[in-house]
Amino acid sequence: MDKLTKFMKNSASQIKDPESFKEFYNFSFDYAKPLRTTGLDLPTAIAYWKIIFVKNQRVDKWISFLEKEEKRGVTKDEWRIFLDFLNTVKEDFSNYDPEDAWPVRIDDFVDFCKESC
Amino acid sequence: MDYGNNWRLLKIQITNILNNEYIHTSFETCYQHAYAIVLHKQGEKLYFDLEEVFKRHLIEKVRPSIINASDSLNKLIEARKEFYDSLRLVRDTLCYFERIFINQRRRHFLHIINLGQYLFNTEIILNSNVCDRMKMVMSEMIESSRKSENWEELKASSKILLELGDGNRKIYEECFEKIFLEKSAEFYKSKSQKYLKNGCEFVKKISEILNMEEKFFHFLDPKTLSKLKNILIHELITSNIQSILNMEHGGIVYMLENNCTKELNILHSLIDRIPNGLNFDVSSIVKYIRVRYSKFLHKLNEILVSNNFIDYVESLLDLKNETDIFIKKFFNNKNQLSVKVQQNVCHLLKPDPQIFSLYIDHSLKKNSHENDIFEVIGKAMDIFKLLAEKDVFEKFYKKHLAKRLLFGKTSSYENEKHFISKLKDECGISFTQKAEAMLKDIEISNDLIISYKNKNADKNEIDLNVQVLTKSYWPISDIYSCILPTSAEVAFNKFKDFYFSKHSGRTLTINPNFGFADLKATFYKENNIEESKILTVTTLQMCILMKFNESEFFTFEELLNQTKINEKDLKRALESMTMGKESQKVLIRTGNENHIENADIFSVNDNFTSKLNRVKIQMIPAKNKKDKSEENEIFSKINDDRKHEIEAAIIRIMKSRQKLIHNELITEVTKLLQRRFLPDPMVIKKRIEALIEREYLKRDENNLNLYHYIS
Repeated sequence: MDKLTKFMKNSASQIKDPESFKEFYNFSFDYAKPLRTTGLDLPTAIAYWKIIFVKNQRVDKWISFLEKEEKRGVTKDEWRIFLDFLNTVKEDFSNYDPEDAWPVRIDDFVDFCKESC
Repeated sequence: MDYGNNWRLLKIQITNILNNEYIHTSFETCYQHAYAIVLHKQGEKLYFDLEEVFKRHLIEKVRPSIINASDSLNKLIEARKEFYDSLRLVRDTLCYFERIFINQRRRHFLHIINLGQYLFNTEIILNSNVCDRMKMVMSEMIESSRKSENWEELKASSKILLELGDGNRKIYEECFEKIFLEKSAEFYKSKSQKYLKNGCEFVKKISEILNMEEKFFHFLDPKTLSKLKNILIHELITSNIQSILNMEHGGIVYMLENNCTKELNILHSLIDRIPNGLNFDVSSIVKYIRVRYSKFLHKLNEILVSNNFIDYVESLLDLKNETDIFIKKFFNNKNQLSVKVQQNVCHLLKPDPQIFSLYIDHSLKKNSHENDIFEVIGKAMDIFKLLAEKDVFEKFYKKHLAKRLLFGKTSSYENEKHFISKLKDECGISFTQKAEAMLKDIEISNDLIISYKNKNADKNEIDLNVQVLTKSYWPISDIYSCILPTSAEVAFNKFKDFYFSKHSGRTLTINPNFGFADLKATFYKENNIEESKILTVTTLQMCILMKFNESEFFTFEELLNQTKINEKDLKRALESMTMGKESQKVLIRTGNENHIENADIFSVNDNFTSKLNRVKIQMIPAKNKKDKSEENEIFSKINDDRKHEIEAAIIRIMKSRQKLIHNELITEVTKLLQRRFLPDPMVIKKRIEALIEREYLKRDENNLNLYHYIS
C-alpha cells in the first residue's frame, strides 16, 4: 500500500495521459482484488480510490456516500464505470440521464448528492 | 466564292421563314447558295451561323412574346408550333447542306430540325425567365380557379406542362405542381382554422371538404393527386385531431356526453385515414370515462378495502359490462384512437390479483352454492384477461389449489380441470402445467391407496390414507420433519415398503404440516366416569396429544425436544388446544402470559366435554399474524421469480440481437413480459448489472449505453 502511494506521487506526471490513466485505473482493480472472488470488498476499494485520486472532491463525496449505505462490495463493472462517470458527467449533474445505462449505485449516488446539496 | 454574300442572302431567307414573312428569294437560288458554300468547304461556318440565327430569333423574338403575353402557356405552345413548322421549311431550303454536309458528320452535328428543337428547349422551355413567367401565370390561374371553382383551365394547362417536359417532369413540377400543392395546403389550413372553434361542426365541414377536393381533382396526374391527398389528410386531419380530442366546445367529450354518434362516426372515419403511429393523448377521454363511471369506481374501492371478494368481483363485472357497452357504442373501431381508449379502460379496471384469487378459491370450494360453476368461471375469465399482474394470481391460485386438494375442500375435480383448461387457453401450458400435475398426483394417490388397502386389508391397525405429492409441482415450502408417535410411524413405514415395491429411485418424506388424524380420546372424569370422544386433529396436534399417553405433564420445552416439532408450529398447535374456545380446550396449560413460554406445563383437560361425539379441533385461524407472514412469503417468492423471469428475458433478447442499447433493451424486455406483469425499469437495470457481473453480458468499450451478448 505504501509502495503504491510512493509510486503515485512519483509518477503522477506520467499518468496525465487519459488513456494510460484509464488502463492504470482498471488494472488496479484487478491488482487489488483477491484471486478467487469476483468483487472487491468495500474498505479496500475505498482505500485504493483514496490513493489513486489524491485530493479529488467528487471522489471524496463518492466515498462518503459509499460509507453511508450498505456495505456491499464493488463489482468490476461499477469500478470501471465510475471513471467514465467522473470523466463524462458534470459536477452539477446537468448532463446526467437516469434512464441511461448507469449502474444503479451511481443513480443512488446522484440522488444522494442532489439531496445533500 | 464569297461566303459572306452567300450567307447574307441565305440569312435573309431563313429569317423571313422564321418570322413568317413573305419569302422573296426562290428556292432554286437558295439551293445554289448552299451548294456553293458546301462545295468550298465552308459547311461548318454555315452550321454555326445557322445556329446563331436560330438562337437570336428565339431569344429576341420568341421569348419576349411569350413572356409578355397574358396567356403565356398557350402562347408558348403556339410559338413552338410555328417554330417547328419554320424548321421544316428551313431544312427544305438547306436540303443540300443537310444531305451532304451534316449527314456525313452526324457525330458532331445535329440535323436541322433536331438542332432547332434542341435550341427551343434550351432557350425557351428551360429558360429561367420563361419559367418564372409560367410560375406566375399558373399561380394566378390556381387562385382564380379556386375562387370560381372551375378547374377546366387548370386541367388543360397542367396537361400541357406535363407534356412539354416530354418525359421529364421537372417543368411540370416546378411551374405547376409545387405551387399548386403549396397553395392548396394554405387553403386547407385556413379552412380548418375557420371551423376549429367547434368540434362537431369541424368534423362535418372537414369531411365535406375532403370529399369535394377528392372529387374535383381526380383529373390530376396520379402522382400529383396522391401528393395532394397526403396534404389534405395532414392539413385537415392530422394537425387538428388532438385539438378535437381536447377541446371543450363540441370536442370529443361533448360528443360522448351528448351521444352525438353521427359526429363520432365521422370522426372515426377521419381518423381511419391518418397514417399509423400517431400518438393520441387520450387523457381527456379517460377523465370523462372516470367521471361517467365514478359511482362504480368508488364502490369498487370501498369493497376492495373491506376484502369482500365476492362483491368485488361482481362489482367489477358490472363495471366491465358498462364499459363494454360504452366502448361498443363509441369506440368500436379498429383505428388507433379506439385501441388506445380500450387499453386505457382495461387499465382503469385493473383487478386486484390477490382478491381475484380468493374469489376463484371460494368458487371452487365445496360449499359455494354455485349452480352453474361453468358460467361463473366463464365470467371470471373476462376478469382474468384484465389482470396486469398475472404472475401474482398464479402464485396465489396454486397455493389455494394445493390447500383445496389436500384438505379435501374442492367441489369437484371436474370443475378444477375446467378452470385449468380455461387458463391454458388464455396463457398456454407453462401457466397450467404444475396445476395439472397436482391434480394428477391426487388421482394417482387415490388409486395407490385403494390398491394398498386391498393388499393389506387385514393387517392394518390404523386406517391410513396417504397422498403422495411430487415435490417439484407443489407450492409447499420447506418441510419441517418431526418425530411421529410410534403407531403412526409403523403404519407409515408399511406404506413406504409398499410404495417402494412399486417405484424405485424415489424418497418419501412425510410432511407433518398437512394432513389430519382421528384420535380416540378418553377423558377420566370424577366418579370414575369415562367419556370417549373422537377428536379430529391435525398431524402436529396428533403428535402432541399422543405424548400424553406416556406421561401426564409436559413442559413446553420438553414437548419441543421430544417431538422435534418446529417451535412456531408447536406454539400454534398448543394454542389451538389450550387457549381457544371452551369446546376446543382438550389440554390445560399452566402459565400466566398471553403467549406460551418455555416453562409452561401442559396436561390433558379431563373436564373436557362436548355434546358431539366427534369433535374437530381447529387450528387457530390467526388472521393477523400468520396469514400476513404467509402472504409476505408469497410476495417475496413472486419477486424472486420475477427477477429470474426478467433475467431470462434479457438473455433471450440479447442472444437474438447480439448487441442492443440500454433503452431498447428495457423496451424489449417490458414488451416480452407484459402479458404476465409490468416490470419496473430500475429492476431490469439491476438484473442487467447482475448479468454483467456473471459475464452473460458486457458493456461496449466506447459506448456505455451499448451491451454485447457474450456467447
